[in-house]
Amino acid sequence: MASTPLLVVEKGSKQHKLWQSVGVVYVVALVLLVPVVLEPFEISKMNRALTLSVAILAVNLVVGFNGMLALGHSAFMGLGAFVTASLIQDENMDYWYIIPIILIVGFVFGVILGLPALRVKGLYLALTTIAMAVVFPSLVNIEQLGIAKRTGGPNGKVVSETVDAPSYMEWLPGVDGARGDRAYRYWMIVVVVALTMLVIRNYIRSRPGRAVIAIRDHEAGAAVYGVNLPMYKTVNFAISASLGALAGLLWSMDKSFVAGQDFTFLLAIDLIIGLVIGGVGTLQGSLVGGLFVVWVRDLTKRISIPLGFYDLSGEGPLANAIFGLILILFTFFAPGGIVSLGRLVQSKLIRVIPLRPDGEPIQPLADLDPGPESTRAQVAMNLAIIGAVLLPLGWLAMNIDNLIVGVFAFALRFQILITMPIALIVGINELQAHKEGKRSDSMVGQANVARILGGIGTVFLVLFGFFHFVDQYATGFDLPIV
Amino acid sequence: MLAVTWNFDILPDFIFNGLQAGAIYATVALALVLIFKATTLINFAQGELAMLGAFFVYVINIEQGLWLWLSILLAMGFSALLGMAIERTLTRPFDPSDHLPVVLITLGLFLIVNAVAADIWSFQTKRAADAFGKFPGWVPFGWGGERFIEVFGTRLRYQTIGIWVTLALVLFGMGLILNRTKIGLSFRAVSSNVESARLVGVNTGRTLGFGWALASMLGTLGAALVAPSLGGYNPNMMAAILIYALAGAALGGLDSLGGAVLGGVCVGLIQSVVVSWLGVVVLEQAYMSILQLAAAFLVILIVLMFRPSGLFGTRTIERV
Repeated sequence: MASTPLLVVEKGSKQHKLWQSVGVVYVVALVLLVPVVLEPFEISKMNRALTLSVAILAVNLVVGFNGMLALGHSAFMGLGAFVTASLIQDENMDYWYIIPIILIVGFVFGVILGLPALRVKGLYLALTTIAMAVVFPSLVNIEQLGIAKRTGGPNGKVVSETVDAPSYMEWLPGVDGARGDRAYRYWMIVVVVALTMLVIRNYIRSRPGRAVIAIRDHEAGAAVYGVNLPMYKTVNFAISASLGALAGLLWSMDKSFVAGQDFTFLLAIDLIIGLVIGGVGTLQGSLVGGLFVVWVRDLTKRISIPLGFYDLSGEGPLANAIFGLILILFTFFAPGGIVSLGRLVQSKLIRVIPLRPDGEPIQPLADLDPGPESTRAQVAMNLAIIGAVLLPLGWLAMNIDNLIVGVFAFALRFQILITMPIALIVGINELQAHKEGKRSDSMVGQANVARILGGIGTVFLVLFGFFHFVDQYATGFDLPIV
Repeated sequence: MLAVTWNFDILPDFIFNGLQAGAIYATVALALVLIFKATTLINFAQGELAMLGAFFVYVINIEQGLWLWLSILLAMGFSALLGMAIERTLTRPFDPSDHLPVVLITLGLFLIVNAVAADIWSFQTKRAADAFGKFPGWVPFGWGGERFIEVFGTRLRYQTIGIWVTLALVLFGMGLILNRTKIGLSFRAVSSNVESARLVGVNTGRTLGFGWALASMLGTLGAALVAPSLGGYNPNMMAAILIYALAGAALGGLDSLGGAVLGGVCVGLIQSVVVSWLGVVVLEQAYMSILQLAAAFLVILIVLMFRPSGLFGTRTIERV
């Protein structure tokens, strides 16, 4: 059957855990490789992307999980950033003590601003929150209450005490030498992001989280069910505000300089774009969205497409136009964002069958077995061969000095992360099925090719990644490994 | 304590400023409400489309050298075509009850139009011809050829009068179109209930296109009229005005045309009188532009808390 994916596993089975652990390994490898592989200024960009991810997660809480169109979180970021800067600079507090303060401040402001704002509906709420975002940069310059003195007024505030890597932390990848401090801040931000995502994931899966999602799906129905609408909406908004303030703290820590012009409505638009392109209502989408907003924006600035009579160059204002175009294209073709596209691809590759309470799968695996005419082995073999061919192509293409070709070359090289392990796993599966007599004999050869090629590819990929990491990591320590 | 020296002498000055700004906000608010009535969507790109229309005026008037009012009419025509094209391609495929996708589309348009205009014409402000610079020569009472008249002890600029007269004519014309023509009737039907209108045989596509065209024309007119007081044509000219116009539309009720006008004028007056005059009088600071936006939105928020659909909007009742 053409409709069955390549792999069908039971939830919680060994194979399922294998699949999930491969994903975890990839994420961990990515996190470890970033500080050693990237240039210092790129690490700063990564820090900024992760900071925006926290902010986008905050927006997601309200827009994606609660269904309210609150679009002004740049104001909360600014609030967090300025309070942090002021506390560090004027009161000489330490960053660790400031984190709980920031969360509380954000929460309080979220309650204050949320209570009236949530009384208005739909588009009116969007307008009101946009107004918040628009007004915030001006509020920084108010001279009453000594605000301007604390915020540095129009010139911004410099935080002279930067976060430096303590000597006992220098074993962390990347924390050495010239880029050491930025990599240290990267690790701090990674820790905060991971903790935040864990907390929010548990929040969403808990009872209040379910109440919030119920409000999104059908507000009247949730009210009938006994959900206290004003309380859950306001508390959710307040949590989102404190997350936004936390993002502001990260911003301040990373940049050591805060100015009102950084937190305009354009930042709010960036957050919304990141939210949508990442995937509304998904946790991973916030991460992807943050990365997208920073890195793709950077890409659009460097694009240059000669179109005959007119040179489409990203330098200058047109970078924004390309960004807007991407937003519109995503709204048309992938409204669920990149995460929805990823899930689409994943659904073609693997299906996880949930278990009934007694431990049996709800649909017996044998029902989904495609039987003797299965094309899985052939698909796996094709995948392995394509993967093996595209990799050197991508390597060669890297030599062409064109940005668009470069992006494609990047994709061509990294596709082996997906194709090779899948070919390996599916090949092994199909051979196993053949041993059990469920497959015809003609596909044995194909399955073998898939398994061997996939195996070689996966081993190559693991070794390459490992040695690349050790190489870069070791250069900071002058170890005998070269 | 605050030194309160009530200075009523400069109040008429601020009132006239407020009325002039309010008329512009009313025009743009009308455009926003038109689209909202027809489609229940907010067009966040309205300001940028209006700015583009103003640049059309610049190209036709200054670069090609045609008469100003002819240029404005031609630019309005081009904007209408552009508005209809946008409606056709970008917004029609989406279900209007789901707000997020169309908000995103208009935000994307906002970015694109702003960037394209900046790329073509750069961020340098281009001098704008003033539609209402001086009174024409035939005006009696010795006002002919002057820029302003003296009234209530202050100067009332011809610009203010001209903009208000234009707004009045526009309102009159719109009333005629909406109430006396067939397409106006279809528009009122579509804004009342799209499904029923479709069932009765109204061509909703054409009507929506008409709505967008009308809105774009209004936006262009507003931008062209406000350009002289902003110093000229600039890709960022309409960003602040859009915010105030949104505030005015929300204040008056997003689906009330009269409310849009009233809301726009109110916002203009609040911005000018409350903040500028009180700021000068009460707190004796020169110009509190930073608080104008905040004051306007504070008023909106308070109004929305007591009347969630705006002053004149229809109260929505959720049927379960």
